[in-house]
Amino acid sequence: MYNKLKLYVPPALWLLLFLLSVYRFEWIAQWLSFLGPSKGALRARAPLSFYVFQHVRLVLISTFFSMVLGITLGLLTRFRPFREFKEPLLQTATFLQTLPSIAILALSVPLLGYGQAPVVIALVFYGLLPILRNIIQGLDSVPEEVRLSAAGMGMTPWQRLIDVEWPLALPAVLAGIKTSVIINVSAATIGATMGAGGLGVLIVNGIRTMDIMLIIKGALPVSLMAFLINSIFTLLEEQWFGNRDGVRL
Amino acid sequence: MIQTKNLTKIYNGITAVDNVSLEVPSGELCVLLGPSGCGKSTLLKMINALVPPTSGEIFVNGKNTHDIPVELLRRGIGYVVQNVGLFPHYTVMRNIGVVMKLLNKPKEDIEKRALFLLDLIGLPRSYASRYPRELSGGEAQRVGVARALAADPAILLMDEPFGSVDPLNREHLQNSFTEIQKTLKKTVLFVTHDVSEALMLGDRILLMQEGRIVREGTPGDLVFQEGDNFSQAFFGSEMALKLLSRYRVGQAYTKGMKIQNAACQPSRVGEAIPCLVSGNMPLSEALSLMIINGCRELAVSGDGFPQGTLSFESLLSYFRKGAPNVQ
Ligand SMILES: Nc1ncnc2c1ncn2[C@@H]1O[C@H](COP(=O)(O)OP(=O)(O)OP(=O)(O)O)[C@@H](O)[C@H]1O
Ligand SMILES: [Mg+2]
Repeated sequence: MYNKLKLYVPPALWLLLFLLSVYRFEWIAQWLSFLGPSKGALRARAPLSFYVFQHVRLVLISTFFSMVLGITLGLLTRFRPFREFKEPLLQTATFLQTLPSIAILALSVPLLGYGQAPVVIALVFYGLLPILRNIIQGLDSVPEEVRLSAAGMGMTPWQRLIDVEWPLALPAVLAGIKTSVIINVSAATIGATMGAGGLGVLIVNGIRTMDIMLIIKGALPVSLMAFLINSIFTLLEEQWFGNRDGVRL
Repeated sequence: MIQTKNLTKIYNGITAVDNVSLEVPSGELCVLLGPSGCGKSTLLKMINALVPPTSGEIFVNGKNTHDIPVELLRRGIGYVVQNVGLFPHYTVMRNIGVVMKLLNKPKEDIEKRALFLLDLIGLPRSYASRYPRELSGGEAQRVGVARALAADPAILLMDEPFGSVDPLNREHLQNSFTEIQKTLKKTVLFVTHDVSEALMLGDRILLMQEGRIVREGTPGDLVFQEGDNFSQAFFGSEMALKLLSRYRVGQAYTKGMKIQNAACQPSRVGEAIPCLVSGNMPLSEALSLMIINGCRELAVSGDGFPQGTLSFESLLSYFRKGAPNVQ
């Protein structure tokens, strides 16, 4: 019981810090006042929560589509006509992931133009990669003899996928989604340069006007959000798949 | 009945199974024996369509397996995978019930059957709620056997089912499997590379080498008839001793005989008392007792066997009479 409760401490702490950075930025600004006076940070046009909301919306929408697309594509690679694409897909995904998100977003401007929709599309694509890679690898890592006995007992390919391979790949899929969300939380800041709004607006403006406090005002919630999401996923992993073996590694 | 005709499997140039024609009649326990890599598993996998043959045909109960939908074929065949392959995310109970669930059996039936099978393989019923990671290798293997038996298939393909069970439990399993087989009369193709296991369990043994069946016959045939060099080397020169465990004292002893040879005495006790054994004792143990106690004769009684004696001479003559006794 105590151990279970202990798991909730990190997410709660990160959530608290995140909310503080959004609703009580004055406190932080005061605390950091030695960095110099803020020109625009404390009297912005819109409240900070407005940018946070835009940012979260951007991330949620793009992650949702990344998940749907990534999982669908990953599952499709288990079936006959698409099986051929598994290796190329895996290699492409692994390669594209090595490109920085800023490059992907910059490349998407000439292709898709400015605004929210192009940014979402670029984020969906970028966030797709870790999910796709992990689901393919997760499904591949199901032990051969498990696969063999599932088939040998007369499960249909569909039953094998849904009842055996998918549940066994789930931890890897969850890890992929986690990477995807966290990458997109930071990648979404670049969306500001492409007219998608979000916390990146503050950072970009801060850089333009050389206002450190404004940069911090935008960057702090972004990084705290990433920590918060990371801790939530750690909690989920622990709850669902944690310590299954009774082995501490 | 399982039948194969000129079955061949070639994996990228390597011939794993080479022109094998075999027949396992209904109710027979046929052992596929051979060294590592000789193609036993491959042969088994072709029968339940896990591996497509390069050429040749397979018949199950007279039907070409090519004409049976694979899922239907496989659900009718109990399959014990080499290396077990239990589902890690299922409890023991659910693992055992997989095929029954596929056949839409009601949940209560599945649970009852799973508990029955746990008793049968000698695991406590409390194991039903365990996960495979909480089992030892040998325990997992026994659950694998239970899983194959669950839907009560007429045909069983067993790929080294007792491979990692310790000798004591292994013997227990082999004995209970022989017992089950006596009443259920399943058609079994049993893969092993253990000569003792083959001689003890098999109604008939097929010896494989490099993808081909090089010798076949009853355990008695294989021990008493001369084979080629490979066969002799594989069975080893103490094969007759291994054959002994197949037979019981009750089959070879002489009823109603009085003990004549007083040499029979457990050394620890001063008095000369005959060694008393049950008719159910395997002949291997009886011979072992004679050696340990330095006696040529054992008194037989109990377990519903009429009193009598088993002498070393009667043991020899039981086998000397040859083929009729030695099945
Ligand atoms: N999927 C495969 N691809 C290529 N070669 C294979 C494959 N499976 C088996 N083989 C080869 O076929 C031969 C027979 O393998 P098989 O697994 O049938 O042997 P086995 O008799 O079951 O051996 P063991 O007792 O070690 O289990 C071996 O030489 C093996 O290397
Ligand atoms: Mg094998």
